[in-house]
Amino acid sequence: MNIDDILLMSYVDDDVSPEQRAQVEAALAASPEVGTRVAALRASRLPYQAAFARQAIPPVPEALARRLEELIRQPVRAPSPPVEAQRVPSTRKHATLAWLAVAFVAGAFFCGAALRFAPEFVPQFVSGSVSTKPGQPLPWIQAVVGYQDMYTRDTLANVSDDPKLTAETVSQIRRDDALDVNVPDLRETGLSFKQLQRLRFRNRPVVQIVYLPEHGNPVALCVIGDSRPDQAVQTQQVGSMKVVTWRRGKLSYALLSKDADIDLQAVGAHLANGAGPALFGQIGNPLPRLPMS
Amino acid sequence: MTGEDLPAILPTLLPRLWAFALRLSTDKHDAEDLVQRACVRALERTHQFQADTSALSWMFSIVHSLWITEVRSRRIRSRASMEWNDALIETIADPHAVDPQLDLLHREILTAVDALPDAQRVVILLVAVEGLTYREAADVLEVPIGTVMSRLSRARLTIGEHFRPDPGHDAARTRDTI
Repeated sequence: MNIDDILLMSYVDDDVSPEQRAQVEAALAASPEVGTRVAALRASRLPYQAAFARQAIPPVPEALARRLEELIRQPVRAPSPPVEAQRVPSTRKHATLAWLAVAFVAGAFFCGAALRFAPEFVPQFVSGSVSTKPGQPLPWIQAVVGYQDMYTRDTLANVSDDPKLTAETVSQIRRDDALDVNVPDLRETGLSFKQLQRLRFRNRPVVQIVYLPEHGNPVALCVIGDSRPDQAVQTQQVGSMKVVTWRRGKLSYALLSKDADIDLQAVGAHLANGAGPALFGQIGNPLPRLPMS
Repeated sequence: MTGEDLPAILPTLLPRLWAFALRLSTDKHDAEDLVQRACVRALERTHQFQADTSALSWMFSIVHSLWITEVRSRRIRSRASMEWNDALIETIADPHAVDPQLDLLHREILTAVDALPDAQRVVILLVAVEGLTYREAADVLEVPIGTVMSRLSRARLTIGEHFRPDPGHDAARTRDTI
């Protein structure tokens, strides 16, 4: 008689119907092998909880508890996707990205230490009234750097662009976030578009556009509203990331990557000129091929 | 509770999340990373939390998902298996143990569970240690309930083989270990 182990387990746990009990007992009478399996299953009824309670579990690390408290206090949240535009991939192959895709909060979480040492930064960090120490990156730059630091090539390995979803996201960004953002086509510079997502930092919308070079780490173009006058391209090193920033048309841009095989400053300079074509949004002139660093 | 309550309840779950992550990963650094990422993810997705779900089960699910998709794969890529033991949970002898035989049994149980394949070990952790129902464990692991029961039965068969009071079996096992 063919009898499966699930039924035998339920039998030894006394969790079977009278009919199933009769079936198992008939099998037991007919097959010593079934008896062996039942004996093993009976022997597996052990005091697991008591045994594991004996483990010397180290206390919760203070740093972990502290970071959780900070996270709960942080007003940083990625926006809840509207029901009609659920953007979190549900398939297993997208699972790697899924947690990143809505977790911009992690940027502030993981760079929490840096932010703790910058108490002079206030939520109006992008307004003209904020003064920062010379050379010190703005909090939103620190946050996107912290977030981008979690991206690797593997993170994006199985991500394929969904043009319809991206187009919808661009519409949402323009309509709901009031940011006049498009998705630049950077293929001529060796960067393939991978994904677009809406994030929030201190209750302000942030757009993240991720590209993948042929080699090296992903590149992100992040955008946030900023009413200050336009500003030329600047390059700085923030933690492990090279960051190219500029302001144009009431938007602040940050192009960033870690060890990218791309001349970020050159790409940033061309983007700052506003002459590039867009994959989603307005169409402009094609970018010239840029030198690799 | 609703997702809105999660920020308030999350700190109270931290010790159990920590213990689960530590047992899952058997590495303090990975466990800390897992819990940290899981909290980030959960707070980002409070709108996805369903009121009829246990917050602890939901958090276990996130921890497990991150373990599978991020941390375990990264660890496999970055470390040789022999190096995994540098930060294992210590299992210490209880000097106040009333019954040395019970103390020994507990140690053997831990050893037997630890030797299981990951998929079976996690089911034992969820069902036998954390006390989740089969349904809750299936939700945590995002697999059908039949898969949970199948993995559990296989795990218990393996463990039971070590503890089965069968003299003939003991003799065979002794020969195998020589």
